[in-house]
This record gives sequence, C-alpha cells and structure tokens, in this order.
Amino acid sequence: MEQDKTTKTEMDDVLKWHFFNLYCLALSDEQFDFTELQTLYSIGVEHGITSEQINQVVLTANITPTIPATIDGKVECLYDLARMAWADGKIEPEEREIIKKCVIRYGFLAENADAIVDYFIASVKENKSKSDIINEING
Amino acid sequence: MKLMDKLGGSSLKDLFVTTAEPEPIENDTVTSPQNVFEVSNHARKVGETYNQYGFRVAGLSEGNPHTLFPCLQSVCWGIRKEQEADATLQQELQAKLAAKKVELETERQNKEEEYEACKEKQKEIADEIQNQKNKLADLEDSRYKRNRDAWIVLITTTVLLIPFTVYFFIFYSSVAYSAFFKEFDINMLGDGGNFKLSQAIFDAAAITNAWTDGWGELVFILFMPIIFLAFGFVLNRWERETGWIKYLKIPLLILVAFIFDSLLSYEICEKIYNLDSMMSLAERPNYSMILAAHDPRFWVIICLGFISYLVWGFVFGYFMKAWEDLDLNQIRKKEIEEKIDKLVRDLDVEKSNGLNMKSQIAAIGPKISEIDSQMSVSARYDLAKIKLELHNFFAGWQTYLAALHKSELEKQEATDLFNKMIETIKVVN
Repeated sequence: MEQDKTTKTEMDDVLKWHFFNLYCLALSDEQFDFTELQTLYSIGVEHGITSEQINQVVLTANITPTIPATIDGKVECLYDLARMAWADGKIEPEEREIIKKCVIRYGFLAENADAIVDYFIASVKENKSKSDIINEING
Repeated sequence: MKLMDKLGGSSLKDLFVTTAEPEPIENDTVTSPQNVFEVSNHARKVGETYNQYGFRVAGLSEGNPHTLFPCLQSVCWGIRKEQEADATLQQELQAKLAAKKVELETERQNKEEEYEACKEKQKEIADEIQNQKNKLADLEDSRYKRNRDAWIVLITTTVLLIPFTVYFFIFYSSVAYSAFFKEFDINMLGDGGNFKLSQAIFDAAAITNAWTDGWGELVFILFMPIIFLAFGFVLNRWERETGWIKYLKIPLLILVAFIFDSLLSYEICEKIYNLDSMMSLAERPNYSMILAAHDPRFWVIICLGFISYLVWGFVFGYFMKAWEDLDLNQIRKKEIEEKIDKLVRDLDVEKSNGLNMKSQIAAIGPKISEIDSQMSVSARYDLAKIKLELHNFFAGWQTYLAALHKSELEKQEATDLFNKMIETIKVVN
C-alpha cells in the first residue's frame, strides 16, 4: 500500500484536526465514496501520514480543534478540503458548506468566504498545485 | 485568468485578509483538550475478539456513527495486513485459486466437448432432414406410378362390383321369392313338359309380385341379397384380421353361407321336383338331400349364388386394398412431413443449446483471466473472513448501542453505514 511507504511522522493537533475535517467532508454527503477515501489517504501520503494514523484520527473523534497558524497553512488545508470535495468529480452543497465553515473558522472575512470557496474549487478543477496557489496568493 | 476576473479586480491578497479573532469552533464530536489522543486505547488488544473490540470501540466513541466507518475500515485493513503476513493463508488462497482455475478450465473443456457433441448432433439432424426430404421427393416421384396402379385396380373392381352387386340383388331377391313365395304350376313347364330352370329361379316380376303379396314379402326378398352382401363384407373384414382365430371364423362363415344358399337351392329344387312328380305317372320318392345332391339344378343354383358370393367378397377385398393404397401414399407423405417438422424443431432446440453453450464457454474465459490476475498479485485476501470479522465487530458495536438505549434511527443509521461498507469490500480488495 502506498501509504505504508511513507515515512511515519507524528501528527500534531493541526494535522489531526485537518484530517478530521477532511473525513467529515467525505462523509458530509452521507456517502463515503471510495475515491474520496483514496484521496484522503493520498493527502495523508503528502503529509507523511500513514493510513493507520488517519484511521486512528477518525476513529477517536477525540481531537483538540486547532487552526493552522499561518496563511500558507490555512491555504494548504483549504486546498486539501477542496481536493477532497472534488475527488468524486462533483461538489455537493454540503461539501461546499463545510469548506465555507472552515474558511470562516480559519479567520477569513465572512463576506469573502464564498469567493474563497469558489477560488479553491476553481483551482482544484483547473488542477493547480498547492505551491501554485500559495505563490498566486502571495503574488 | 477566469478566476481573477471573477474576483472583480480585487487582488487575491485582499481576499485572504483574516479577522483578528478566528470564529470560535463548535463541534459536538470535539472533546476537551484534557482527553488526549491515545492510540493504545483504540488498537485491538491481544486475545480480544472482534465482537469485544467492536463493543469497546463503540464505547470509546460513544457509538458515534461518524466514527463507525473508519473503525470498520481500520478493522478491514488490519485483517488485510494480518492476512498478507500469513504465509500459510496466502498459500491456501493461492492453492484455492489454482484449484478454482483448474475447475474452470475443466468446466470449459467439458463445455467445449458438449458443444462439439451438440454440433455433431445438429449435423446428424440436418442430414436426417435432408434424408427425409429425399424420401419425400422419391415418394412424390413414384406417387404417379403407385397411384396409377391403385387407380387401375380401383376402377376395374368398381366396374366389376357395380354389376355384380346388381346381379346379386336380382338373383337373391328372385331366389328368395321363388323359394319362399312363388307357386310353381303347370304353366311353367316348357316344351316337352320340362321345367326351365331360368323360369324357376329368375322371375322378372319378383318384386312386383312380392309387393302384390304384401309389404312383408317385399321387405323379405329385398333384404335377402343384403344378407349375402353382409356375408361378403364380413368375410373381407375377417380376412384382414391378424391372429389364428380368423382361420376358424372364415370357414365357419363360408359354411353358414353355403348352408343358407343350399337351403334356398333345395327349396326351389324341391318345388320343381314336386311339380314334376305331379305330372309324372310313376311313383316317385319324396325329395331329399340325397336326391338334391344328384340334381344338377341344385348345384347350378348354388354356383350362381354361393360361388358368386365368394367372388364378390374377393373383388370387394381388392377394391378395399386399392383404396387403401391410394390413401396410404397420403399417410406416408404426411408422416414424412411431420417427421421433418419435428426434426426442424429439434434442430432449432439444438442450435439454441449450442449458442447457449458458446456463451457459457465465452463467459469462463474472463473468469480464468480474473483468477490469473488474482494469482499474480503479491497478496490475496480471504474476503469471507474479513466480512465475518466485520460482522462480528458490528455486532459488538450494536450491542453497545443497545446498551446505551440509542434510538432506532441511530441504530438504523449505523446499520446502513455498515451495509455500505460491506458492499465496498470487494472494491477495496
């Protein structure tokens, strides 16, 4: 399994919370699509997280809500959420709502929330990379 | 730059401006920071059954349905890992797949043999259809000749039977009249005082005279020929019967007809003899069977009646035979046509069976390919075992839900999630 090949890194609270959000997003349309599951684990690979660690995160539901400190960290998390939502090739309204909630929770202006969600959804649809987005924002 | 256009000229940096204080987070599933994430609590303990594990993990998450799916995933992945590491199981699964492959290959071979047999049968039926068609064509070709012969016999016998029957009718009605009702008198004597036999037997006015005598007499003499025609008909039918009994019945019938005919002849001859005796001066003995046996007139009457009765029976037999020959040709033709129809139906069935077998053979190929691909991968999984343990885990989970007095809706939600998960097992594998 691909996940097992990654170097096991300790998950901090931010990552745990991030993966919990990703998991909630996957479940938000009440259907845990296999492609969404694959995306969840592949995001884990990118963060150096094994499948077991992800399972344990979603298994416990015992996580301290922790928000990324930097803009880049927030953008990374929102990008992952958008990828998860787009994994099955469609964005459900529930999925959109969760991303929007996260945008607001991450401290972005509520009036910009919809535009930010649109931006991330458009970006994943255009297959932009995480670094492209960060560079674009930092301009 | 569609996205930038959408932003209405404002820069991305402006878009990602943050507030001083982030939105407070409310989440039912989030617990206090004191509850630290302890991996050891959630791993399956040594010796713990999946049922117990399900019960315990449900307790840790308080039966939260959102945690059920990853729990099931975790169980599934855990078992998969165990199975991957189990060399004996891997060998067993490999052997099972190999056995299944052999079984499928044997099945395919058997089906191919069946298919070949089916094709052979189709060929046999097609040949038989052609054979029957040839027979039908031969029958059509020879039909003219056969029918011609049968028609010749039929027409000849009809030509013979009609006058024969008329003769029969006239002869026996006259004989019956002469024997039973006619008064012989001296006027019947010819030149030289001799009786003319034709006058004694044949009476052109027999029917008119019988009518004058009464309707009973008329019916009697009209029905007399019918008795002999019936004798002839019965003789013909018995002749066609099988079995030894007909060899007793036929001589008996002929004997009865002969006796009946003899009695008629005797009656007439006795009347002639008595009239002769009246005219004769000499003393003559009474007429008897001995005298009748020496009387040529007695035998002439028998010959004219009894022999012609026998001949009528034989001619009638030929007539019937010719009629049946004509009919038989039709029956034979119908038989062959029915046989061809049945063979065509059989051929259709065999063709349909053949197509069915062909599709079955074609369906085995992908199954073998699938087994080949399963055999070529590094690890194989006992899906039944995974499903069984997932069921055990979920049973434990349900027990906890029941213990917590969770609502039926929540229980149903968990069951639906579990069923969805079970459905994905094959996909995940």
